[in-house]
Amino acid sequence: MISGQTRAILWVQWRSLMNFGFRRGGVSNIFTGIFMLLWYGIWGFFAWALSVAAADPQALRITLAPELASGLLLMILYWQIVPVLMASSGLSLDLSRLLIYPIPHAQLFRMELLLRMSTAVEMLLISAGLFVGLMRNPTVPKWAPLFLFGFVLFNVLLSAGIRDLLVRLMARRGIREVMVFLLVLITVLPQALMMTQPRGSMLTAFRIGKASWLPWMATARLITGHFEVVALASLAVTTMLAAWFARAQFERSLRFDVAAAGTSTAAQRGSKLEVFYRLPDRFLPDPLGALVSKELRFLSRAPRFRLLLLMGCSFGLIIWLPLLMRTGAPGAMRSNYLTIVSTYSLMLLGEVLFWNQLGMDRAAAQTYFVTPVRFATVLFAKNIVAVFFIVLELSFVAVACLLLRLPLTAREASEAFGVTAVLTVMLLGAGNMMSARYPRPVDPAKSWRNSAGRSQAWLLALYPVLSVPVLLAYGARYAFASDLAFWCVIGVDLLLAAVFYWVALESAAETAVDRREEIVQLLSNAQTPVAG
Amino acid sequence: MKVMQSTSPAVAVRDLRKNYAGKAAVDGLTLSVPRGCFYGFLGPNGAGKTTTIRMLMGLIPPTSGEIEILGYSLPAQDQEIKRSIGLVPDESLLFDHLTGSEFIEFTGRMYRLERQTARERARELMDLFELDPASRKLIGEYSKGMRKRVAMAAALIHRPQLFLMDEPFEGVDAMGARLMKDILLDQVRQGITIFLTSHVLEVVERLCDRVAIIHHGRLVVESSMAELRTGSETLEDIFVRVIGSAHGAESLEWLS
Repeated sequence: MISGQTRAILWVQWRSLMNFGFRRGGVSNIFTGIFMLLWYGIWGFFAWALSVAAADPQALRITLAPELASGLLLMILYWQIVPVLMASSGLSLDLSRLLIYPIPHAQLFRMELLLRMSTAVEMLLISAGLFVGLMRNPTVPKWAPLFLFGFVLFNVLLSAGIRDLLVRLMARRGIREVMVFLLVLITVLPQALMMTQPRGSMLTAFRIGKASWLPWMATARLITGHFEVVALASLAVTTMLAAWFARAQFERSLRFDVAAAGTSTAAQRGSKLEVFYRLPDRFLPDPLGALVSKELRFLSRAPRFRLLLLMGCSFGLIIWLPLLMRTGAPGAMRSNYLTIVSTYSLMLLGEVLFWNQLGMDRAAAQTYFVTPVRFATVLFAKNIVAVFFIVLELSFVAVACLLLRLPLTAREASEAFGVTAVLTVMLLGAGNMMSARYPRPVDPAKSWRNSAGRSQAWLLALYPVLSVPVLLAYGARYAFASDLAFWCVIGVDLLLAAVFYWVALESAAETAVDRREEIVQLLSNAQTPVAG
Repeated sequence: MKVMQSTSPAVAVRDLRKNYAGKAAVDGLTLSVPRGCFYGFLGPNGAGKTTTIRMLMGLIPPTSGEIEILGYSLPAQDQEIKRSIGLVPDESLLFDHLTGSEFIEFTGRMYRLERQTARERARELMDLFELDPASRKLIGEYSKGMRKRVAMAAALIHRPQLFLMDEPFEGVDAMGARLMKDILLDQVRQGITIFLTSHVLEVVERLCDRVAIIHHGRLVVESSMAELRTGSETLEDIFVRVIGSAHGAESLEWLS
């Protein structure tokens, strides 16, 4: 029997999802509605197809049964990853907020489990489809599909435990960035595997271990009517272990003091970086020096930026390295590896360093309009810091390539720096204009959140256009079969990019001042990312 | 286990301590809040007010010490305590993706009110606090003052015996503050106890029967307003005197 409190919490979860999904109104709501229909429709269709296949004795034996264990393993992975991503988007109820209400702890734990179910509805649909199909299959004993409930329980418990553990880890500075980085890496891994593995080997990779003691193998055996003591014991033991893990993590989360977790590490942070922050003061006159120094401090302390920098320094290497290592990798990939990785990293940092320079430090952006500083100086200071971090990132990637003993010549390294320089100056110019025209409030504390908005459409169009000068340089090398031609065009590109940058900077500053009321209004609006 | 006695203080804490990374945020706090009292809990920034009130709310465990609320001891009888108190916590405990009336209705249902009753009371409270009950505006889009009002409205829904309020007037405009003060005074007249932290000393001086001032986690003053008012000093004068850090502008030469 579900208590009134539990019903109220499920209702709130539902309302939060609806309010978040349909908050913009008008056409946006229609799109959200269509998207949700399509999304759950697709999962519903899969569930139906699975039900039909599982109900047919021949289809079950020939098609479904051999892949059932792999499918169940994929279900486990989905079940464990999606709720974590949901929590980081603020769509999952934070149980610590319920502590002020008179709810017994045991009931809170049951609610936690119910919430875990509601955040992986897709897998519930698939499980239901499979259950119905197996129940209708005359060759499968009626008791067999009931083991699916054990599998669902195992997943729900494991998911609850993992989420509680991650939430606590993410409250600690430093660890939070590493955890989010690992999570993002998990989502990138299948793509990297697909790119590097031969066709069909992905499924083989998931078929790891045929032993019945693995929970997905055990479930696959049991639900198809192959009763084995080892399989039964495996499902029971893993479910009990998951229950113990979930309960232990839940109790620790209830007692967890976020402030204490933050303080222990905050106390250790000293003024080690103070020398680094004060470096611009030595070379740049004020207010430029003060602005650059402030920007360095802010970005270094913003979890969102730290994560992006970490991703920029590593993702390019991780994603493109397997292609390079692969036998028979094209020569162009080998000779342009650093350039490709650098360009990719540049795109990762783009959101903060180019396209939305005012959106993250919103209070500061508003202050600039009331202090006696030219707005062009503000943007220029931000651009200096952007260049600093891009050079840092590129140097890191180059050093990593050398340490990994990748084939990297001085010519290739200088080419990467040249191409990145042209692209950076072009992107800074365009980014300044975009930042003044389409600022978006972003929470610097939120390490992982998708950025959206109409500016995204602009970016899709802008990247290819801004790459044209670089493509011309490669075209010149190809046409004249000469490196000199390449560098000549790069030189001209840099000159043109610099002119474009200065014109764009002044134009962006003028636009920002003209639109200051609108910008302040937009940045004051805490509607999206700040709401947690 | 103790049973609630109507004669016991509304709040009683003994030798309460809370350490963060070895440093005491609350350091041996002992105080007693009589029932039916409007109690102001004051202190400068970082004095330990919010940490204390979060311990009283059961949100964070103390490092050591005893807490009794309405005669029940915490944490042993936390369910009885939670049922009897109304909380206006800091803003982080509001649900940003709900509308104001949805949040108040949810709070009512958490206190086991019938769904229909919770919905009706939510609508009435939204009206009382001059928030539009029909608005689809989410709490995440509310101004600071509106967030405080919705938090107070939610705290009232189950008719608690004790209110624990953390800076309830912060960011609230004059009209909103007047409305909230009237409602709170009316509650005190009905025998309800109010324990609040505030930086607005004028408000505390006008509303509270008793005040306590903490500094560096320690109690430095605990007295009735009547006793404090015997001299010519205002509460602000007393506050500045006991905290002892009133630097004048003249201390900076270039400002003179």
